[in-house]
Amino acid sequence: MSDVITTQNLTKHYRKHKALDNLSVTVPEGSVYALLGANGAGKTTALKLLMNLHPPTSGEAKVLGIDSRELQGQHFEQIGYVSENQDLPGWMNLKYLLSYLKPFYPTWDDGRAEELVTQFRLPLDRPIKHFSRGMQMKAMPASSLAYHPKVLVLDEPFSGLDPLTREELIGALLECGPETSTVVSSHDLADIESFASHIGYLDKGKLEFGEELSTLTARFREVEVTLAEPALPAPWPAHWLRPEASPAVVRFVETHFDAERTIGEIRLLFRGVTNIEASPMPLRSIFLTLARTSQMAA
Amino acid sequence: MTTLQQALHIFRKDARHLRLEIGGALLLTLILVLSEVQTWADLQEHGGDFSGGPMDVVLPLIWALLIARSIQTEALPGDRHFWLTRPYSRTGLVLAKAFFVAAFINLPLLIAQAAIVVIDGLPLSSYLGGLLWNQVLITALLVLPAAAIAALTRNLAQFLPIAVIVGGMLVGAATGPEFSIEDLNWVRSSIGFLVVVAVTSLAVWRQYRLRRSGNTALVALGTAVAGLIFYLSFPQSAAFAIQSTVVGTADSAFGLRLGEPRAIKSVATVTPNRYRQLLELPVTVTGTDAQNLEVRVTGLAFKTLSGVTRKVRAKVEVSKLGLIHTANVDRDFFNAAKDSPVTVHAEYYVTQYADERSTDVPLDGTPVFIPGLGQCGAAVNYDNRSFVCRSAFRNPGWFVSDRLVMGPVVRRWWGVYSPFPADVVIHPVIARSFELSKFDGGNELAPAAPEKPATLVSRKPVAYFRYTLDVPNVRLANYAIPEPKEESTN
Repeated sequence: MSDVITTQNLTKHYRKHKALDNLSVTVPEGSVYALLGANGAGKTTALKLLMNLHPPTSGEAKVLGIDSRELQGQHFEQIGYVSENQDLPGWMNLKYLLSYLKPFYPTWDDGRAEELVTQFRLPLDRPIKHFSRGMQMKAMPASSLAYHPKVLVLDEPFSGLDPLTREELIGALLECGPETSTVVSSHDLADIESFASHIGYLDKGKLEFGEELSTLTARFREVEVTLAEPALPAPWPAHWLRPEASPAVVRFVETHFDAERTIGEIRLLFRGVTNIEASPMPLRSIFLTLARTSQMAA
Repeated sequence: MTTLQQALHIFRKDARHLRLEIGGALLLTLILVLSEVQTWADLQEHGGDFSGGPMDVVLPLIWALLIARSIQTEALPGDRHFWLTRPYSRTGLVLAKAFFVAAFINLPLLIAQAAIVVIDGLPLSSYLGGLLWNQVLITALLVLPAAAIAALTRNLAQFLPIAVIVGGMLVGAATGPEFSIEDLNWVRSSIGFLVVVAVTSLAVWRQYRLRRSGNTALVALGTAVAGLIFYLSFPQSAAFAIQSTVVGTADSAFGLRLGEPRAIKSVATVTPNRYRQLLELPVTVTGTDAQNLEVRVTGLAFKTLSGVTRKVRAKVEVSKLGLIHTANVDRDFFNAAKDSPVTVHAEYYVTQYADERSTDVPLDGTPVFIPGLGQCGAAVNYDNRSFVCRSAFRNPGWFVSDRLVMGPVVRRWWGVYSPFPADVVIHPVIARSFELSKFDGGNELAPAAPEKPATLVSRKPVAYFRYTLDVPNVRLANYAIPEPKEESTN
C-alpha cells in the first residue's frame, strides 16, 4: 500500500501569523484520514496547500506523487475537493453543472452521478444559487464523487448539515470504496469516528499526533482510581491529562494506556488504591481533552 | 478532452451564461451602425466634421464590462472558485476567453465598421488594412487592459473603479504630451502601445500562469510606471532618428549654405528695440526645391573668435529663394560682434516632400475618391458651402500636405504622418471640412462657381533628416534689419 499524500515540514505563514508549522503527514492509499483541531488550528490551510490553492511558505506536499505547487489541470481528473468555502456557479442548475463537468473527467460515471443526485434528493432544474446551504453542500460531493476520484479532500463537509443529510453524505463517502483515499477536516467528531481510519490532531498549526484511529482509541483511557486516603501524587506524569480529585476518587485521562504498565504506575504513585477503572473514550472526548489541555497550557 | 475542445466547451458555457450581456452588446453595436451611418447625401445635408458619437464611449465601456464578466466567471484571485480544483487547462481557459472576446467584441465590431464604411460610400477594399489594424489597436488598448484588470479583481465592484482610473490614465497619456514636430507623435504613440501591451500581457500571463494576484499587481504597477516614464521622457531627437529610418533620409546632393544678405528695408511698423537686434539670414538650398521642405531650426548660435556664444531663437520661412531665418540677438552682443568674424551654427530638422499629385474635385457636390487621401467634395447646406474630405480609420488628409487651389487662393490642409493605416476608433469614418463661404485669412473662398472644379494637390513626405550648418567668418552687420527711425514725439 503506497501513500497518496505526503507532506514534509509543510509550513505556511500569512504575514506574521504562522498558520501551519512543519506539518509532516502521510495518507496511505485507501485510508480516510481525519484532520482534527480547534478553530484556527490550521486544518483548512493544510488542505488548501494540498490543493495548490495557496503556495506553501516552506516544506513540500505531494498528492498522488505530484508536488502540490505543480498541481493543476489534468491532475484534478483524479482528485475531488469539497469545501464549505467553495463557490459553485450559482447560475447553473445541477443538471447543467453535471453535464458541463462530465467532459472534463475521463472516468465520469453517469450512473453514479444519477445515483448520487437521487440519494441526496437534489433538484436538477433549480439554479444552484437557489439551493439551501444543505443542498449546496450535497451538490459539491455529488459533482465530485461521480468520477471516482483517487483522492477526495473534504474541508468541513458536514458543516451546517442536519443529521439526516450528514448520514446521507457519510453513506455516499463509505460507498466510495478502497480505490478512493480521503482526507477530511471536521468538527463533527462522532461522524468522523464512524468512518475515519486515521486521525491527525493539529494544534496551533502543529501536528500533535497522526495515527490510525484504532491505536489512538486504544491508547486513550479515562481512568478512575478509588483511594483509601485522598492524595495527588507529585510529580504528576505528563501523559496523564486533566486530573480531577475528590476525597476518595482521582480521575484522569491516560494518553499512553497499557493495562499492565498503567496499573503498575498507579499503584506506585498512589497509596491505598482500592479500585482502578479504565474506560475507553469516544473520539469526541479525546478531542475535548486535548483541546482543553492545550487551552490551559496557553 | 484536448485543450482546444476544452476551450470551446468553456466558451459555449460562457456564451450561455452571459447571453443577456452579449445580446446587449450586440444590440449596441447594431445601434452604432444604424445611428452613425452618414452617406454623402447626409453629409451634403448636415455637413460639418464628424469623428464619432456617443457610441464611441458607450461601446468600449460595455465591452470592458463584458470582458470582466467573462473572465471573472472563472475568477483568478481568491481560493473559493470551484474551477480551481477542476481539470481546467490554463491554456484552454485563456483560449476560451480569447474566443469569447473575438466572437462577441472583435467580430461584431469588424462587421459593424465594414458595414459603416460600405454604407457611407467609401471603398472598403481601400481600407482593409485600416479595418484589421484597428482590430489590433482595439485588442491592445481596450481588450488587454480590461482583461488584465479583470484577471486581477474578483468582481465588477472591484473591476469598475480600477478600470475607470486606468482608462482615464490611458486617455490622459494618449492625449497629453506631444512632440513639437507632430509627424513624430506616432513614435510616442507606438511606445505607449508597446508599453500597454507589455504591461497587460504580463499581468494576464502571470495571473493565468501563477495566480498570484497581489504579486502580479505589484509587478504590473512597477512595469507600468517604468513604461510611463519611458513614454513621457522619450526624446524628440530619438523619435526623429526613428522617423528617418522608417521614411528615408537626405539625398547626398542636399545642402544648405548661407546666402548673400538681401536688401532689406527697415521694419517701419516696429519701434526700435533698445535691447534686441533683428537679423535676417537667407540660406540657399541645393539638391532640391526649397518649397518641398518643411524646416525647423534648433540651436541657432553665433560664436565670436574670442569664444563668446549667443544662442538665439529663429523663425524660418520657406520661399522660392530658400530659407529665410529671422532671428533676434541681444544688442550688446550685436554691437560687440557685428563687424568681427562670427561663426554661425544652426541645426535643422528637415522634412522633404515629393510625389506631388493634383486631382480636380468638382464643386457641384459630386464626391471624388482620392486613394490615400479619402473622399472629397463640396457640401452645400443652405447658404453655407464647405469643402469636405472623409476617410476611414484615420483623419482624411494623412498625406502631409494638401492644397485646395481655386484661382489664387491656396488652402493648406495639414495631415499628420503615421506609418500605420488606422488610429484607434470605434466609428470608422472621419470627416473634416472647412467652410468655403467665409473669409479665411483674408481671402474669400466663395461663392466659387460650381462648374469650375477645385484642384486638390497632395504630396507626401519622403525624407526626414537633421542637418547641421556651420559658417565661419560671417559679418553680422550685413544681415541686420535696419532699425526704423525714432518717431518724433513733438
